[in-house]
Amino acid sequence: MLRKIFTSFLAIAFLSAFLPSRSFAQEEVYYYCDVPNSHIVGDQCHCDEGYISYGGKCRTPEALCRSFNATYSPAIGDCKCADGYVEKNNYCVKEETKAAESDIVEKENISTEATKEIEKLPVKKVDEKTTNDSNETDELYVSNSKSAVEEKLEAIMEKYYAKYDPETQAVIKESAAKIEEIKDESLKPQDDIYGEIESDSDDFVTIAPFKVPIEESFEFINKEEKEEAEDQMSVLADFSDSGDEQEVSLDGDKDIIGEFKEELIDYSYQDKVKEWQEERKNVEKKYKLKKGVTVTEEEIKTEEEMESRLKWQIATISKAIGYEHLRIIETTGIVKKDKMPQPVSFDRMSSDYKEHFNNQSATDDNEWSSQGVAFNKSYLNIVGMSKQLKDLKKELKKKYPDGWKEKYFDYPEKPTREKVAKESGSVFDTLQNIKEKSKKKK
Amino acid sequence: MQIEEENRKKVFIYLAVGILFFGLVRVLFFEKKEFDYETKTDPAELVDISLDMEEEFNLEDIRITEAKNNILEVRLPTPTDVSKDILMAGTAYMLGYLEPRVGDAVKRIRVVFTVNYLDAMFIEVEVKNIEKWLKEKISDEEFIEKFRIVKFS
Repeated sequence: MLRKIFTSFLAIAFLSAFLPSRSFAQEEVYYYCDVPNSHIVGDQCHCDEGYISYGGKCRTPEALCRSFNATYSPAIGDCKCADGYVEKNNYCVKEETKAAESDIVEKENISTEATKEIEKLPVKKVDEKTTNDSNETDELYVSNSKSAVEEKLEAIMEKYYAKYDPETQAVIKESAAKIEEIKDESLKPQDDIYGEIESDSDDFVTIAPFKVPIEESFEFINKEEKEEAEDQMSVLADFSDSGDEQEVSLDGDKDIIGEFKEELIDYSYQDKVKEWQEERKNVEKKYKLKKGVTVTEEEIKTEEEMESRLKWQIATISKAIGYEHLRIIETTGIVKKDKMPQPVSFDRMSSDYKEHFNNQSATDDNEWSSQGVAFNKSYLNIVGMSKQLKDLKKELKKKYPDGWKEKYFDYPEKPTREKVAKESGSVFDTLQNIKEKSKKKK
Repeated sequence: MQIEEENRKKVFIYLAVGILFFGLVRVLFFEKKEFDYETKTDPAELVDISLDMEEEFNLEDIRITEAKNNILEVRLPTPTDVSKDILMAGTAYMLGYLEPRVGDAVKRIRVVFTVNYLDAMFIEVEVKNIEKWLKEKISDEEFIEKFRIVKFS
């Protein structure tokens, strides 16, 4: 009898071992959020867009600020006491009462930050097997309180947000919620929309969205930006007009690539980079601090987390920009040389993308030209997010001035290519100079 | 009685082995699943590369993402006042710079030139060809011939 029980146990254990561990939770139990204006992400309840979690409820910033006798200021993204009022114990009181109260903290703004630690939203757990709506609330409570690093990152984002114009702010505010929701998407490669376009040297492929949306986007830019964009377009037009041959020559006898290779490339660079990367990994493991720098392990961890979170924020925004770009391509379609536009199939987009960006299908041929609204929206989102991206990169460089690399770690020197002449401008200017020099020599 | 006692011992031993085996299999094969993302390159590492490139090439707004089929997409604004040969040479230079920095999982690198943040033209090539070119196994001409160029008209 025991042997039978044991054999069955082993069989069950063996079978269950080969089932993905997550399937148990996903198939048998699901969670839902009981708090109004909240939704579930994974196993956590989050307030809907435009709501702040406070006191176990999801409230609009305006309502929350009103409860502090304050008003919500979108400019600072926080509550603000009216003129003649000061903050006392998270409540705005008339300034006259200040003299009578010796313990008043003089602060113009009430920060909702202070209240974040009590954010707990109940998550309800339902057993799928007993599909009747169970009212028992599971003890699983989710704390939405943010870590110090998360708050620091938020402060950085808010600092930049405050300096944008109102239109950009509106776009960023809208994008922020989407970005939060697609965070996990950062870990997925984007659809390769250009992968299916075949081209060979005899028949270059022309893609309509390359030209059409760019020209449409000129409506949104100022005169100066437009001039620059037109210069860029003329470079590309020259490139396209110069024939299908890919040969790049410099007055016949010596090609420009050979010339710049001679001047710019350090052939041992490749090996040096690999060595450097290897050493860098070892340094990371050893936590070797710079000489004369004394920091606690906690400080290092905080800095590391901060740097990593900044990078992830940048990576996620990059991904979100990519999604918006796919949306733009979808509105215009792909054309091959001398062929009619072929709308991009909406199904190429990930379901998450489709859901969060709430797009219309572009499968109907008549639709592809009339999707101006979607185009405008996506384009403005791209511009707004690109501004954010630029600023976050700046922040990363500022915070870690030796590159975005390490402030505290004694990293090995990055191999440098001695011959790179940066003083002449961008890499293209450098190459142009090499070309000019070469011409003069002749 | 003694036989029963021995049997019980055996059962406990088998049980212990079974539990250990069960735990081990789960740890080895399934717990890893939580980290089994589709990306081949760490997105944070791509941010590092974009910043390095901005510094190295004195350019702005470089955005690097991974596309399906092991493609690394590098987006940068189209330069102004450059001819075709300079654009091609600059691209070749960037490809040469990127090759040692990207992981083995990347099979193709696509350099996308943008105007107003929108894709305007791209040049892509297989990483193995960049490698051959850097090691001088193929000439500059052969390398350029491997380029796949998609442009507007």
